[in-house]
Amino acid sequence: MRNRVKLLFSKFFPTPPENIESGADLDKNYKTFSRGLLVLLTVLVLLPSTIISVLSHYQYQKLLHYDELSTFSTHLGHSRSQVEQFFSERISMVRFISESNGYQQLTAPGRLEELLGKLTDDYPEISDLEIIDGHGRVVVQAGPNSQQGTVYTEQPWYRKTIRQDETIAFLLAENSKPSYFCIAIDRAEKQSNTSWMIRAWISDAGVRRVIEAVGMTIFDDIFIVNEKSEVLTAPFRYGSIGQGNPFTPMNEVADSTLAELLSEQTSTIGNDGQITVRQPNIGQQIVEASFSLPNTDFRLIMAKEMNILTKAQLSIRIKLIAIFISCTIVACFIILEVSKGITRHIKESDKKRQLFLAEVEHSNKLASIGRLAAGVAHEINNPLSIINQKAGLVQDFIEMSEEFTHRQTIMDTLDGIQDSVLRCKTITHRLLGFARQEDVHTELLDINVILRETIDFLAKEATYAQIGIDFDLDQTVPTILCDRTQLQQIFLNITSNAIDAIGSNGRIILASRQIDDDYIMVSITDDGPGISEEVKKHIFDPFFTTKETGKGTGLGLSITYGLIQKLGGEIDVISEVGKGTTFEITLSII
Amino acid sequence: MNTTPIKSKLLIIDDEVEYASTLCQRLQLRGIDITDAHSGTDGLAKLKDINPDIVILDLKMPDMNGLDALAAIKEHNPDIEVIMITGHGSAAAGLEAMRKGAFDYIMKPFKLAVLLEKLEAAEKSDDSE
Repeated sequence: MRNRVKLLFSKFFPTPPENIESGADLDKNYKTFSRGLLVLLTVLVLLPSTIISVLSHYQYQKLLHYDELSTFSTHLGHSRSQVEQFFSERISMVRFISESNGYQQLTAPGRLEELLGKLTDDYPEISDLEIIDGHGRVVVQAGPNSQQGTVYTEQPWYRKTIRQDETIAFLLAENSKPSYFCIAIDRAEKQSNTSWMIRAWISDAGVRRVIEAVGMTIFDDIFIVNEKSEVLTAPFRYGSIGQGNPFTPMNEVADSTLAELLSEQTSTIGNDGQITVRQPNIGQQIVEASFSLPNTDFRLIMAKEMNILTKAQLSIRIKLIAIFISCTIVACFIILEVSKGITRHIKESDKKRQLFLAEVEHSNKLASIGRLAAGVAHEINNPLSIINQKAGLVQDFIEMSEEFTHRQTIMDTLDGIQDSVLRCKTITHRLLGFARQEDVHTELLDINVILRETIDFLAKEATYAQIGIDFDLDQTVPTILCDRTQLQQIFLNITSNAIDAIGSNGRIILASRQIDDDYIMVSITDDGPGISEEVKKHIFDPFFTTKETGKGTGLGLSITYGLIQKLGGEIDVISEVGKGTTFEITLSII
Repeated sequence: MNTTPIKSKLLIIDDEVEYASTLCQRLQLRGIDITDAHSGTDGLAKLKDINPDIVILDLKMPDMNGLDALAAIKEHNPDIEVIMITGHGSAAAGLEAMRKGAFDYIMKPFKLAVLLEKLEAAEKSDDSE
């Protein structure tokens, strides 16, 4: 795994080869690096923002659900009590009739119709009233549905009423007749030792109206089911009367956010309540709540579809996506610029490093050539001295001898040998000087004074060659901390070269100026023949000379270069063939 | 060829045999009393026998450093003037020797006239002391 990560990393951030020979390879590496950096930064920046966006979205969705569920559970309690109140009011009303009138009064002709007439003014959903004697037979009835003489003893509701004194039962309609809820109250009269029942019929449409008024604005559906989970009141959206609870076949969802939030809500619902999250085949999750209605086997079912994509959710989702996209675009733009910038910076640093390495290599080359030259020079010095002295000795003997043929020619030849030896000495001494690491003795120097002093050495030579030496010195140039002798040698070498390059009839300008707070520059310009590009590449190489054989050692500029390096300065050549040459020497002030 | 007015007794110490003997021969031709030695040890041995006024001493020899030889000579007789000869091409070593008591130094190869001038100066300096 670690190796894989390393491999991936090295793919994006390649290690540059030790020796980069091809510029194309280098460019390819920079491009790969830039691309890798872009990918890395993009991941680093976008990953957290993506995570935050997703989490925010999730949290907001949870909050919305929570809010929706809180409202839902508040409404549940309210709606439930209203439906309960509806039934209990009607039970109280029927009980009141039975208690205030008694069997004798209620069975009096016309009394029940009169009571029903009064009742329907306030309770229009009550359609029938009937009085049942102790044998389960309808003795008196009012209303269109009940029938006198009907015997209920075999009816489950009848037996249940005898057991419980009062019940609410449901009469499922047959043959497209409306269905009814029936409230039955069992009465026992001690005086006459008789028992009887009063039963009121309530149309399911009436119940449905109440339920609709209670919950339809809040719930997607609300209806009543019996103990067999059969729907008793017409649902608005799901299922139909007489059929089973439409939510029961739906899958129960236990691990959703809704279910999780619901578990927090159960405390507000009460013990007899039950809330379940259902997932229909198509559509949103549904929250189903059911409560048993008191004194009945019925349960009140309320359901609400959890609209995850509500308007508020959609709006926040769009906002989140918009913010995320705009942030991503801005981040990508910044990352692109940053990675480009970093790559550019590295590229420039690499270039500088390569230049520096090339310079070091050049200096090292010069140093090794210098050491080699010094060794050779030292070894040659002794035989040269012997040649010199031997030639001198021969001359001594000839001087002591008498005149003979070619005496003068031999003497002249021996002089020639000694002159050549002395010329060799100049070369060997320069070679030795080139290699020698002389200490730098620094002092505060006025560069203008040094330039003028140096030129004094060459004034005669320049005058003979009819070369004018002019100064363009900045009098405000600061004093520098440098080595006087070495500076003199530098200026002497360059100016002397300029005189040689011009030959005769020309002009040399020595100028000084301050570049910035840390550096000054001395420039030596001649109007000589100039230096070709090819020659320019080698002018600081030892033994490279364009002068005639015997006139130049090829060490002057090489030594000058070494001295400037030692003093911590830089030298640059600007030249154009036919126009002249300028040597620019940059020196540190401190 | 003119004889020189140099009357001093000279000793030349240089490991380069050819060089020392040739120089010795040339100076002898000019009437100078000079002996050559071809190593530091040989030079110091002859120093005691000859007791020269001026010593021409090579700065670099295989058996003995020129500066050590100079110190030994000066220890033997501080009045002996020593002229150092060097093939290093550097004035620094010569100057160092002068600080340690050498009269002068001269860089190889040189014209005999230059050496003669220095010998005369050394002799004068010797006389004046």
